[in-house]
Amino acid sequence: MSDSHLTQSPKPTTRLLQMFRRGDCFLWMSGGALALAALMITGLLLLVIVNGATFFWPFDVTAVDRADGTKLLGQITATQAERKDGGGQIIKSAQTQFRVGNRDLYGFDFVWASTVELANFRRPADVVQIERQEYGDFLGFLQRVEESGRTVAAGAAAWEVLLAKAPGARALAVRATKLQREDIGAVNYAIQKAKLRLKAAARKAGSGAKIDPVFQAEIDAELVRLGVEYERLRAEAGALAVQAAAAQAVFTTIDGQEKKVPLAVVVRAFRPNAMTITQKIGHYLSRAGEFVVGEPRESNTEGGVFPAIFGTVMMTIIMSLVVTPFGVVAAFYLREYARQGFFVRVVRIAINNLAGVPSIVFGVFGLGFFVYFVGGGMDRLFFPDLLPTPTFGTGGILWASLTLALLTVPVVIVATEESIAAVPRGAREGSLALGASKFQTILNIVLPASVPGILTGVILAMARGAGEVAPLMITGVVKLAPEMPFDGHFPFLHLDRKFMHLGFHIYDVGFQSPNIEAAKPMVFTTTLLLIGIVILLNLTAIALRDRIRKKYKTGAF
Amino acid sequence: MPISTPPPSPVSRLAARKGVARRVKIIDRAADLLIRAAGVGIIVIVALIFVFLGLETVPLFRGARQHVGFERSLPGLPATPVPERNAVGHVLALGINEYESHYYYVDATAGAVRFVATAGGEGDAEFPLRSLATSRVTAAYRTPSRDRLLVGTADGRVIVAEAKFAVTYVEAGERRVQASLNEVGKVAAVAPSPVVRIHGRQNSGGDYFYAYANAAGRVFTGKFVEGEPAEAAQPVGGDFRGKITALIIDYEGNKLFVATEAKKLYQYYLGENRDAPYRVYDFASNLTALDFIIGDVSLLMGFADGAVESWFGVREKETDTLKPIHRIHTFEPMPAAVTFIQPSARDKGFVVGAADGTMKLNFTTSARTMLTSKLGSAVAQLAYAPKLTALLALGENGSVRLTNVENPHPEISFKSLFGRVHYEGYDAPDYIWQSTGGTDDFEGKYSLVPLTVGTLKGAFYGLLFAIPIAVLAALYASQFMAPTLRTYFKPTIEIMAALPSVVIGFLAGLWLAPLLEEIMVGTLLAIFVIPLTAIAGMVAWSSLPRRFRHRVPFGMELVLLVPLVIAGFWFAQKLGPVVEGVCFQGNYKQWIFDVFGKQFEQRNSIVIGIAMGFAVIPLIFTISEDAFSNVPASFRSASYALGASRWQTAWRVILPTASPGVFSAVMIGFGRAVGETMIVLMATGNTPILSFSPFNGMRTLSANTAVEIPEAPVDGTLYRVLFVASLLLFGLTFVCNTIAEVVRQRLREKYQAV
Repeated sequence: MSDSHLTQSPKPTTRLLQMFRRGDCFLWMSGGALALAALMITGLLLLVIVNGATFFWPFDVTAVDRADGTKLLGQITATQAERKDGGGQIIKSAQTQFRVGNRDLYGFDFVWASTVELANFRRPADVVQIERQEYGDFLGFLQRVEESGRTVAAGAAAWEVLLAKAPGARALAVRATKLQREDIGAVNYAIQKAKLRLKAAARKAGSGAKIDPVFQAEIDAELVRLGVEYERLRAEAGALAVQAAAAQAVFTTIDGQEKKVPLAVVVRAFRPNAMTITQKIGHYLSRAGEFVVGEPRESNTEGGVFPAIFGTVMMTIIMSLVVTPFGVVAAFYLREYARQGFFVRVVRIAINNLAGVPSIVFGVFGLGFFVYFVGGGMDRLFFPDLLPTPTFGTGGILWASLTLALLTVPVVIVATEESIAAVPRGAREGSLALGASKFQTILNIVLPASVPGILTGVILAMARGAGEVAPLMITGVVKLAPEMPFDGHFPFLHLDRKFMHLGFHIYDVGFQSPNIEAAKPMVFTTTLLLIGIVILLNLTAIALRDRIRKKYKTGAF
Repeated sequence: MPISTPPPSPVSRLAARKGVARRVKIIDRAADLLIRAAGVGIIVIVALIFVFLGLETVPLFRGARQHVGFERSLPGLPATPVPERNAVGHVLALGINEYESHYYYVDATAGAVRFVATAGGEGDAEFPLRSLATSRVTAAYRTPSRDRLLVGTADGRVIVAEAKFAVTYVEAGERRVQASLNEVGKVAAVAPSPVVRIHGRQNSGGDYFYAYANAAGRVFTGKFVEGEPAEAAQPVGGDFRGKITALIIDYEGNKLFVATEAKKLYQYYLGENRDAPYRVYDFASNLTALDFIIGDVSLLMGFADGAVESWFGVREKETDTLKPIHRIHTFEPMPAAVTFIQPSARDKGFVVGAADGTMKLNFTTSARTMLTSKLGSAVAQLAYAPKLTALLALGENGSVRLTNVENPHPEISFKSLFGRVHYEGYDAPDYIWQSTGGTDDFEGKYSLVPLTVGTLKGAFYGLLFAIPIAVLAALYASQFMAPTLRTYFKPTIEIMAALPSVVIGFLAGLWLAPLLEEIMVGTLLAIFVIPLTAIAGMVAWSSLPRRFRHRVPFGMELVLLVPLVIAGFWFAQKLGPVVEGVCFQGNYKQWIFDVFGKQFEQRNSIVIGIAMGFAVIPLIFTISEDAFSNVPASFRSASYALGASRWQTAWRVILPTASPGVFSAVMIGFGRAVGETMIVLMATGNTPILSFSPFNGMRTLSANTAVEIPEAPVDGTLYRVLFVASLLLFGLTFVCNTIAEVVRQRLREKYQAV
C-alpha cells in the first residue's frame, strides 16, 4: 500500500506533489461529496426540527416605535442583513419582520420594517395574546371585560376576570358547535335514510304504481318527528350560541384601535411577556397536545391535525391489511412453488420494475380502475337510489388504500422473498425428511422463520404509504373531510368516505391556503410529525432487518 | 402421546395414519393450488394495470362511428319537381335543433320556414314568413348555433328570424318539443336588387351582424339590434371581379370575406377601411363554399377542385393588428367540387359535402377526417346537430338522410400530441399544452412535448446535481471510509431515502426557493469553492507533523471534511455578493435578463435540481455503493500490490469494474426523477412552456397529471390524454428500469465468475 506514512519524503513540497500525483486530492473530494450528502440530510432534519418544534413556543412580544411616529407590536420572526452591491452601495437596508397578528383589523399577519427606522424596543408585560377561533392571533392591551354590555371588571383586575370567564364561554360555544355538528348531523342522517327508503320503495313498486299507503304514512310521520327534533336542536344550539356570546373583552391595539373580542372565540389567552418559563413550557405542551388530538381551525392553518393523523393511520392500516397477504402469497409462490426459469425471471424483473413505476401512474390507474370502473359499477349495482350522487364511484379511503397497496406490493414481495431465501436449507430438508408435506413445512418452518422479514417489508410498505401523496390526491384525499371514515353511525367503518392525510395537508396548507406566510410554521410542524412517523417506521424496519441478518449469520447450519 | 391411553392396534393405527396422510395430502394439494392461483393472480393484476392504462387510451385514436338514422325524401317538396328547381333552389338554410327532434329549412318556393319532426309526421309545422309580404325568398343562412335565420328577399331586404323549440316534460324521461318561428325583425332594402348571398352572426350580447350580396354584385353589411329600429345596411366598397359565390362576416361585424367566381377572395377589416379590401387573394380553383369555424377566427374553404382547407390570419410583425390569412390545415380532398361546408356549433370540427354526394366530417386542429359517407346525389345542404351527435344531409334529388354520429375525440391525432400544430391566434406552429380555456370556442391544445421536455429537464438537472455527489460519495463510502464511520453515515443516507417527497417539495418550494434567490451566486460559486476547500484541507493535513497524522487511521478524513464543507459553503456565500458586484453589476437577475433575455423565476430548475437530488442521491448512492463493494477483493489487493495508491485503485480498477452497476444506478435514479410528482408540483411554477433555461421552471408529465386529472370529465379527451401521459411516463421508467435490471444481473454473473 502506498500512502503518506509509507513514503519517505523529507521536504513538504515534494510530499505535496506526491499527494497530488497519487490522486489524494480526488480522494478528499469524494470524501467531501459524502460529507455534503450527510450534511444536506442533517441540515434538512435540523431545519424541520427547529422550525417545527418551536411553533408552539410563546415567544415574547416586542413593541417598537417607527420613524413615522406609528408603533408596531408583535413577535420578531426574522431579520435580514443589509445588502451591498460591488461598490459598497447599500441596495437593501437591514429589515426586521414582525408577526403583528390581528388579521381581521390589518388584513395581514406580518410586517417588514426597516431596522434603522425602529427605536425604543420594549417588552410590555401587559400585552395580551389571544388565540382565537378565527382570524388568527390577536395582540393588544386589555381594557375591561363586559357582560351583556355592562362592564364587569376594568384595569388590572380585568385580566383575572378574563382568565376566569373565558373557559366557560368557550365551553358553551364548543357545546353549541357540537350540537350543530353531531346531534343535528345525526338527525339529518336519519332524515336522509328515511327519504332513501321511500325512494327505494318507489323504485321497487315500479313507475306508475302507488307506494303502500301504510308505509308512506309511516315514513311521513317519521319525517315530521325528525323535523320537530331538528327545530328543537337548532333552537337549543342558537340559545347556547347567544349565551356564549354575552361576555366580551375590550382591548386596545398598539395603534389605538378599540377591539371587542367575545370570550367565546378565545381558545387561549396569555401574556407572553409576563409568563415564567414553567408557564411557557405548560403553554407549549398544551398547544402541542391540541395539535395532535385537536380539530383543525381556520381552513387547516390552525388548531390540530387529528383528522389528518387519523386518516393517514387508517389508510395505512387498510393498505397493509390488503398488501400483506397478497405480497406474502406472491412471494411464496415465486420462491417455493413456481418452477425457476425464464418466466420467473421475467416476473421478478417486472416486480422490480413495478417498484420503479412513478406513483402518479398508480394513482391514474386507481382513479380509472378502482374509482370509476369498480366503484361506478358498485354504485349501479348496490346504490341505485343515491345516483347520480356517487357512493363508491368517487374517491374514497378504500380506493386510496387499494391503490397504495398496489404501489407497495413489490416492497413486501421483495422483503418476503429475501427472508424466505434466508431460511436455511437444512431446516427445510429436516422437516421434509421427518415426513412433513410441502405445505406443512412452509407453514411450520419457513413462515415462522420469515415473519420478521415479512414484518420488515410491511413496515417499509407502511412508511412508503404514509409518505406518499400524489396517488392519494386523485383517489380520495381532501383538504377538509367533514366526516371521518370511522364514526358512531352504522356500519361504523365508512370505506367510501373521503379522508384527510398528513402529506396532503402539507401540500394543501403550504401551497393552496390563502395565507401561506402565516400557515408556514404550522406546515413545518406537520412536516416534523410526518417525518417523525416515517423515520420511526423505517428505523424499526432497519433494526428488524439487522437482527434477522445477525440471527441467520450466527445460526447458519 | 399420553401414556394412559392404550396403544391402538397396529391395523387401526395404520388406518389412522393413512387417514392423516390423506388429509395432509389433500391440504397440501389445496394449498398448492391456492398459492399458485394467488401468485399467478397477483402477476395478472400487475399486468392488468398496464393493459388497463393502454385500453383507456385506445378510443383516442379510433375514428368516429356512424349509423344511418333514416333516409327519406324531404316532405314539403312539390310532388312533381319543378324543372330547373331541384332541392338546391327550393331548400335553403337546413338546420336541426339540439334535441334532434326537428329539422327545419327555409322553403324558398313557399316563402315559409318548415319544421319536420325526425320521428316522422307528428309535430310537422309550417310558418310563413310574414315579413316577406309580397316578395320572394332568394337567399338564407342559418347560424351554426342558436338556430338563427337570416333571410334575403327578392326586393333587397333582410329578415331576421329564430327557430324556437319549447320543451315540456310530460312524464319522467319523456319530452315533447314544440317548434315555432319567431320573426325578430327586418331590415329595409338599400337597393331594390335581389339578395343572392347572405351570412350573419349573433354575438354574445344578442346583436346581429349580417352581410349580403345582391344580384347587382354589391355587398352590404349592417348591424341589427332586436327591439330597436333597424339601421340601414352600409355598402362595402371594392370592385368585385366575377359573380360573388360566398361571403362571410364575423361576430364583431369587423372581418368580412367575399369570394368571387374569378377565383378571388377579398379580405376586409370593416373597422379600418370599408371602402377597399385589406388584401385580395388569388386561388388556383374557384371557392365554392366558405364559412367560419366556431370562434370566427379560422376560415373553412371548399374549392371547385375538391380541395378543403382552413386558413386564418397570422401577424407578420409583433405589432400588427391586421393579419393577412394563411393556409393552416389541408384536409382530405373531396372527389368532386365542394358544394357545402357546415361548421360545428361546439368544437373545431365541420362537415363538408361534394357534388358527387361524398360527405366528410373533419376536425381542424388535428386535420383528421373522422368520417366519410356518400349520398345518392350531390350534397345540397348539410346540418350538424348542436350536440354533435347527428348529421343531416340533403341530396340534390331531395332525399334527406340523418346519420347518428359518435365522435368523442376528434382533436387527438399523433401529430396533435407530439407534433407542432398551428393553433388559432398563434403566429407559428408550436408545441403547446393548454387543456382548458374560458370560452366555448376554445381550441384544446394537447401537445405532450412541453410536458415531456419538462420531465426530462427536471430529471436532467436533478441528475446533474445528484450523480457526482452520489457516485463519489459511494466510492468513498465503499473504498476509503473507516468502518467506525460507516455506522453513522450509512443510516443517514438511508433516512434520506425514506423522506417523503412532499416534505422535500414543501421545503424546496417555500424555504429553499426564496432563499436561493438571495444567495444564488454564492451557491453556484460553492460548486467550485467546496472542492477547493477539500483540497486545501488535504494540503493543510499533509503539512501537519507526521507524528500527529499517523495517529489517525485511514478513512477518517471525513471527520475533517464535514467542517470543511461547511466552511467552503460559508466562504462561497461571502464571496457571492463580491462576485455579483464585479461580474453582474450587483444584480444577477437583471444580468441574466440583459444577456440571455430570460426572465428569472424564483421556482426554477436549480431549485428542482437540488430538491430532486434529495430524492435521487440515496438511490444512486445505495446501488453504486453496492456495486463498488461487490468488486472482488482480489482486484483491489492486486492493484495495491502493484504499487497503486488508494485513489488510483479506486479510479482505475474499482470504478471501471463496477461501471455497469453505476450505470444501472443512474438509470434507476433517472427513472425516479422522471416520475417524481410532488417535488415538481410544489417547487416549480408549473408553467408548461418549452424552455431549457436553468432559471425557469417546468411542468412535468407527472405533475400535470396530478393537477389536471381530478378536474377532467371521465372518458373525455383530457382524461384519456392524461392516460397517454401516464403511459408515456410508465414506458419511460419501464425502459430505464429494465435496462438497469438486466445490466445489474449481468454484472452479478460476471462477479460470480471471477
